[in-house]
Amino acid sequence: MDADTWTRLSEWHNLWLDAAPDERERLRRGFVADHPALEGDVNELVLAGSIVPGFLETPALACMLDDLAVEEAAIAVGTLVGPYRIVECWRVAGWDRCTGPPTSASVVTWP
Amino acid sequence: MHRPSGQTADLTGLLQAWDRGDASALEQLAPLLQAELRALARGILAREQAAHGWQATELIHEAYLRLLGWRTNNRWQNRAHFFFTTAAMMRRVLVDAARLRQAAKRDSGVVPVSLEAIDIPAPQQSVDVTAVAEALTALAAVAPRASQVVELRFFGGFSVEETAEALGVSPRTVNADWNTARAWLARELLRQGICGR
Repeated sequence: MDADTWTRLSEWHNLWLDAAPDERERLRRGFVADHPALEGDVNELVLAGSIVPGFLETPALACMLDDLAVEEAAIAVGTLVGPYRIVECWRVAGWDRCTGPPTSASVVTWP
Repeated sequence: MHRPSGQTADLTGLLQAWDRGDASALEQLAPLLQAELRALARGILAREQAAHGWQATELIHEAYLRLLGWRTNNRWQNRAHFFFTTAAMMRRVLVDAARLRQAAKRDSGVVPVSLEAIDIPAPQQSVDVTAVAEALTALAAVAPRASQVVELRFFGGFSVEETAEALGVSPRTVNADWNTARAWLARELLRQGICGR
């Protein structure tokens, strides 16, 4: 798609959005009749807008709040914590599996 | 936010270097901003646990209060400069953070579940920030102004009016670009089998 095509599509798309529901199909057919090569783009734009209403309305920062709040792994695999050695990261949020001499059992740490 | 004087000096130098066009300065600024945003996110969610709700607009406001703290050490050329600079930084930092989390989920073999997300209503949306950023780069080749509108509004969190001011166009033009750009980006993500809201 080039810049001119984008401009034509965008002008039509906004007219279509502003139109009453019963006007929209007439606008779509009229545009496609004038620009048959853009029929696929027109139909896909209309479809995409209806499938994902509200798309991008929430700012990226708000979308990612949970991900940002998660701490990075505090202790690297292989690190000795007292008598224990971290052998596996179970969860990025903090649970690690360790083994050590007192019981030779797996335990978890919470950094 | 209190910072050691050395870190303040670093921020000033990095912001000025980036202003002068030194792209490598952003490499060093990104982790500093990411640390700020992580602290902000933890604070917001802690308050949420204490039953104080939050709104996306308040979150953005608080984030930029932190960035305005940076501004005291840096001379923004004008408001438009601030909007463009911060939106570009936010895009970079949030995409980096999203990639880190995606890699961590793949490596750990488990899907971390946020306790906060289970029972607390918040304006959370499911969207693949990384995929949006990649599609936005493709959009920039076709419609650069519309791409800037999305960067300012989605990644920067700026209002229609602020975006119009930054771009020197009318709010009506911003809305027109925004409408079609969102549909275009949604189409690109749907083509890739990535859905989002």
